[in-house]
Parts: sequence; C-alpha cells; structure tokens
Amino acid sequence: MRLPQQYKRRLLIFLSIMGPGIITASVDQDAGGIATYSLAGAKYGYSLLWALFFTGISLAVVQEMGSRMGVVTGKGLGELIRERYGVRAAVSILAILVLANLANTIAEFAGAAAAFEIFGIPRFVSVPLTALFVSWLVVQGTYARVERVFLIASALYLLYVISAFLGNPPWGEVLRQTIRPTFQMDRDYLIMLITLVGTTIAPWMQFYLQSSIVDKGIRWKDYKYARLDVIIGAFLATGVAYFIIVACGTALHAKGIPINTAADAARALEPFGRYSSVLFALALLNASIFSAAVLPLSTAYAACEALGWETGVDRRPKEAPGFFTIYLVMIGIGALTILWPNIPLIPIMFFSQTLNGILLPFTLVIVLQLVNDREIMGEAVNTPLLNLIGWGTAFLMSVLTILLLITFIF
Amino acid sequence: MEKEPAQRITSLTHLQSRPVVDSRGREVGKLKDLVVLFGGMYPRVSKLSIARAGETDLLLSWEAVVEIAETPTGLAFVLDRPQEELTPTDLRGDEMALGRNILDKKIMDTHHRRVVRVNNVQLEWRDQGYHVVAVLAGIHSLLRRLLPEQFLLRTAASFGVEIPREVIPWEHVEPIETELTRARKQAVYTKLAQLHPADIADIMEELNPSERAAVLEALEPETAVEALTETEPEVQAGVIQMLETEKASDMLEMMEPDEAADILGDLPQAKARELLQEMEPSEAEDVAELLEHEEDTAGGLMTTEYVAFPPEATVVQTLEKLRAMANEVETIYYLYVTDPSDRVIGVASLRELMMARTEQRLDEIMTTQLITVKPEASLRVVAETLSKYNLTALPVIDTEGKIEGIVTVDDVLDDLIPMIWKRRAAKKYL
Repeated sequence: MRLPQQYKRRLLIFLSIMGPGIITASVDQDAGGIATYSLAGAKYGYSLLWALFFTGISLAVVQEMGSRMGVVTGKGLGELIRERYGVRAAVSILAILVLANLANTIAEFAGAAAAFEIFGIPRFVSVPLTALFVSWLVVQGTYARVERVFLIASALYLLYVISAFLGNPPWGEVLRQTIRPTFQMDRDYLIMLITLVGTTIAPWMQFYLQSSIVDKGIRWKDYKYARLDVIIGAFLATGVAYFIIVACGTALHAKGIPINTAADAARALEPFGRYSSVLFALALLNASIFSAAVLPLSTAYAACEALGWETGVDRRPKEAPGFFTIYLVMIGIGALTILWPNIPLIPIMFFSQTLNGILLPFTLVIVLQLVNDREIMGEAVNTPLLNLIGWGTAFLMSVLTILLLITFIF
Repeated sequence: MEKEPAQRITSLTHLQSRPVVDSRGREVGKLKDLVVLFGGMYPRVSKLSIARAGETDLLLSWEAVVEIAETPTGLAFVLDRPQEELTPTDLRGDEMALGRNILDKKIMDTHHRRVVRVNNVQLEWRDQGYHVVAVLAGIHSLLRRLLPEQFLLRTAASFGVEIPREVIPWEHVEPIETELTRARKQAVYTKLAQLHPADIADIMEELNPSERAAVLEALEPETAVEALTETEPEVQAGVIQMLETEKASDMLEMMEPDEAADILGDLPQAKARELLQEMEPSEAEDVAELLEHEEDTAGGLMTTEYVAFPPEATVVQTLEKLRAMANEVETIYYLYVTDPSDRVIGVASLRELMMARTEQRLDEIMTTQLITVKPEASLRVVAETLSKYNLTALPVIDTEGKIEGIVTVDDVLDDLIPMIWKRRAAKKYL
C-alpha cells in the first residue's frame, strides 16, 4: 500500500516527535502502579473501574497541559516555578516532589525485591544488585541506550489484557461498573480511591514529561504531534491499568483471595498456567528497574534546573556534583529502606502511591496557575473545559484527602 | 537622590518589598522592582516600580527618591513630593526591570563559559546612583534567599565550613532571555559575540534547545555558523530542527558541505529532505552526494570543496586563482592536478608552488606519486594514512581514479577525539 506523500510526511514527523508521552506513561506503570491496580481489583472487584475511567481522562488533560507548557516556554516545570514565583516557592514544591519521589523510589526497590523473591533470590542480594545496576546505568551514561529495551519489555503488560479476556469475566457487569460511579464512605475505600488516582496521575510525571518535551526541542508548529503522543500515552497507561483491575477482579476478587505477597498478585495471570508467576515477576522487575532509574533522574533534573546547578547524565560526577548526589542519595535511601529486616513489600508499594495522591493537588494547582498565565503561555492558555477538568481533579483530590482525615479523627 | 545611602553595596532582594513613603511620610506602597538603563559597563538604576494595595503598580523615575532612610523597622524609600503629585512614567526601549528579567533567571557567564541561575543582583552606589555591578550565584546566595544571614553564618561556623560565594561581575554577564532580547530592538548578546566560536559553542551546549535557537538567531550569521559547527552533533541536529526551515537551510549553506552533511545525516529523513529542497541547488547537490556515504568512512568524512587545476596552468595563474577562492575552500595547502575527466594525475603543495618559478607549469612541479584513499576506507585507515605520510589532507578517489573530495586532518580529529576519550574514561572507571 502506498500512502499519499502528505500522510507519509506527517507520519514521519510524528515518529520523530513521539516518545516523551509514551515513555512517561510506561514509567507510570511502575511497581506502585501494579500493586495498586492489583489490590484495587482483588479487594473491590470491578467496582472501581469508573474511578479509573475518569482518572484516565484527567491524566490526558494534565499531561497535555505539561507538554504544552514545555513546547511554548521551552522550559522545565521546576525552572518555570522558580522564574515565576521565586526561590521559596520553588524550594517548597521541590521538597514535595523529593518527598513523593523518595517514597516512589522505595516502592520501586520493593517491587524489584518482590520480583526477585518469586525467583527465590533473597532481597539482601537482589536489592544491592539492583541499586548498583541502576546507578551504573546513569553514571556511565548507558541509560539512553537501554531505555528502548525497557520500553519494549513494557509490552509484557499485554499479558494482563490477554489474561483478562481468558478469564472470561461478566463483560456486561464490567462495562456497567466502568461508567457508573459508586461510592463508600469508609477509610479503606477512601485510601484506595486516593491511591488509585495518585498512582495514575503522579506529581513526578508532570515534571518528567515537561523536561523530556523541552529536551526534545519541539516547535509550536509541530505541537499537535506532541499532543497526540501524550494522549496515546495516557490511553495506554489507563488501558493497562484497566485490564490489571479486570484480571485481578476475575482471578482474585471473585474467588475471595486477598493479596498479601507478590505471589498472590501473580495469580491474576493464572490463565498462563505454571508460567504465570515467572511472567508476572518479569513484568514487575522491568517496571521496577525502569522506574527506579527514571524517578531519581527526573527528581535530580527538576531540582538542579530550579536551583541553577549543573545537570546531565552526559557529564562526569565531578562536573555536576549536586545532580549526581541527589540521584545517588535517592537510590541509596530507596535500597536501604527495603533492606530493613522483614519490611512488608506490598504495603510499601501501595502507600507510596497514597502519598502521591495526597501531594498531587499541590503540584497540580501550580501547574494550573502557570498554564493559565498569559504572560507565560500567551494565546496557548487552557480552554475552559481543560480548566474544569484540571481544577476539578485538584479539588476532588483535596476533598478526598480531607474526608480521609475526618475518618481518622472520628 | 544626592545623599549617599548608608549601604553603598546592597542587593536587589534586600531592597525589594521595602516601604516607599511620600514627602509627608505616608506609605505609597512597597518596592517591587528596580529598572535599569542599559549602556555603559554597569547599568544604572533609572526607575522604580512600586506595588500598591488594590491598585496597579506605579512606575516612578529614580529622581523622585530623595533618601533611603534607616528607620527602626528597616529601610524605607522617601519620595520628594506628596502622593497626589507623583507623575507615573513608562519604560523606555533600552530599559528593563531587574526582578522580572534577571533575578531567578539564567544567564551566561562569558568568563567561565557556563550557564548559571541568578540568585541575587548586586548593586553599588557610584556617581549618585545605584548601578548593577554583579550577579550572585552559588550556594551562599541561594541559602541567603531562604534563611537569615545571622543564622547562616552561625550554622556554617559551628560546622567549621565556609559556604562558597559566587560573584559574577556584570561585564561577564550575558542575560539569555529578557524583554530586550525578545524585542530585538537593539544589539543583543554583544558580550557573547566577542568570544571565540568554540567558547560560544561550550556555553550553548548548556542551554535548552529553544534557548540555543534564540541565541543563534540573534548572533551574526558567520559567528552563528562557526559556533554551531563547534557543538556536539546531537546539539547541532536539535538546533537545526528548532530553527525555521529557511533560517536553517541558510545556515547549512554557509557551512562546509561535509559539516552540513553530518548534521543532515543526524536528522529524521523527512526533515533532511525538506532542508535540502530549501537550499541552493548547487550547495544541496554537494551535500546530497556526501550524504550517500557511510558516516565513519572517507566518503562520509570528506568535503567536496578542494582546489584542482589543469596540468597546463602556470604557477602565476594558479596563485591568482587561489587568492580568489582561498576563502571558500577548507584547505588550500594541497593543489590537485586533474585531467579533463577529473582524474587526479598529481599533487603540488602550496610550499612547492611558492618555491617554483612563476612561469613553470603545474605538471613540471607536481608529484605524481599520489597517496589516496577510497570512499569506503574506514576512519582508522584514513587516520593511519594521514599520520604515516605526514599529510594534512588526503584525496578520496573512486574506482576510475576520479577525485570525489578530500578528507582533512581536522575532520578526522573531530571524530577520533571522542573515541579516544571514551576509551580513556572507560579505563578510568573500570
């Protein structure tokens, strides 16, 4: 088939621009993500699918804002906050980001440890090895070359899609739950809801996506391609989450099996028989290591950009001391936490995402203010619909957090 | 204001948000920003912007300030007339506000050839006015914005450390993006333009892609092209993609064809084709030819701009022509003698040409023992040949003996050095 010249050209431009949105979406499905979606399916069956549906829309909107800001300003989010609101605001937001990302990095090491345990490798061996491997990737500058490997390995998530279908769930019921909101006013449910949103729309993603867009150097003229990339990414991320929940809902919730360890979560891939736990471990391991490399990296980038320190994986540690210190300290803390004797892995992966959800409104509000600032964005400010979804997300997440606090007080 | 303030040296953030009072002592608002006038080595503070509660900001001429008074609650700016008689003014084309354009923004430090973020702007009292003398970067000025000075000093002292201060004198400060660079009403990046293109390239590598494009577009075309060719290949490709097609193709035309081909080779195919179409046909042809060769072979390294003369040309004719084309080609040190079908029959060096008598023909002075390489020869073979015969350039000859181009030693070095460094770095870490 011969494509008309014009379409071929457009396709080529898209292929050269795509990447940031899809990579961000892929890193989004990290250890914390897999744990949260698995727990959501195992505990609540299909009844949280509606929340995921709306979170997916919100994810696309939030990510689109970030990529638009990156293209219009040519600056990272950390830089913009510093330039617009000064040092104090920048440092406060960075503190939030570092806190959330530290929790996430710990979760990635928990994920790697859990995956290795399925292979029978104890964590006091696997965790230091993972830490060394991830540090080596970045300090040696090999990360850019292996990024593609991680990305291709993310195709392992397709297993969940196949598994969900093979499990033969009641599709009518599944679809009904997808569009019909339900709600429970109890603590566990609220935590699950906040965590589900927090793992899908994490604060780090806004920083990471915007920086990647800036580094790619995309012109406003070609922005529509970048937007398509981001929307495809959001769609894929939500799609994967959807099928994890459906698969777990069928394999675990329907049979009343709770998830206490990674081996329990692996049962969602039961249709693959005796390979299920190995496949699950591989998917979890890839997700954990990929994200354990990217999260500290994006934190270090954001902090150094805003503070004006040297950045870049292509520099030697001596040339960019602040950058490498932040990166390695995050890896170190992440690994050491998991080496604490008998620390429970699944709860760590889960509650790190709860923290993401609680902190999300802080970064989201700043993003919304910046993206509506005509001095920065010119004509490219948000449309009313985007604002409604953006502010709505920040508002609802704050309300959920306050409700959660109330359940703790009374 | 004639009276010298108590603090001769101060900083922008130290003055910001101090109260501004009128001649009757009523508060007008708080100091929001200081405006400086460009020109001279140290820009002079010419206006002040005042934030007023519930009203728009007020811009006043600096002459309206009679005194910076030390009150029990801190500094205060005292104006020369009552609030009702104040006359607001406007920003001129060569003025800009420091807080909006310099503070917290990135600047290029032309002395250390790096990019830093400004934590504060240092002001000094000279000739009855404040002037910008330096910007502050580094940890000390950063912490100073977050914490009180006393606390900082005490903490540092108790740990026995000294927090390093970084002061960048204004003569080395080149702002990256300001209202002035955006408006382009006057020459911008004048300090940057004085650097060697290789140094400009070093600084550019530290910028974001969009900033690189903005800086390049503002520089003189020749400087811009030279600086661009000195940057890393990924940076070159990125910048070319960020520029408007027309601007980008103009820059490519001004480059040596081999440099242009290297950049186009790193671009997505569609983009490379678009740029080639936009270029002058003759230049585009040279570049397109080079693009067909593998990158790390003689064909990929060579340039198609070399000097060739017919065997019957005399020394005096040759010298005449050389003078005219010396600017265009990469090297004039070797003259290739070619027959009508472009086959190389000999080579003469510039030295041999100078030593010969003016009426001698080229075929009398040329060397017929030619050292050449084939287009598919590897970088290694090219480098070894250059070094073995002590040459600075080699002709690239196809199977019929026709000359396709020449590889010069600097093109080879550009590609060899990163390889050597990588090997060294690997040894160091293993």
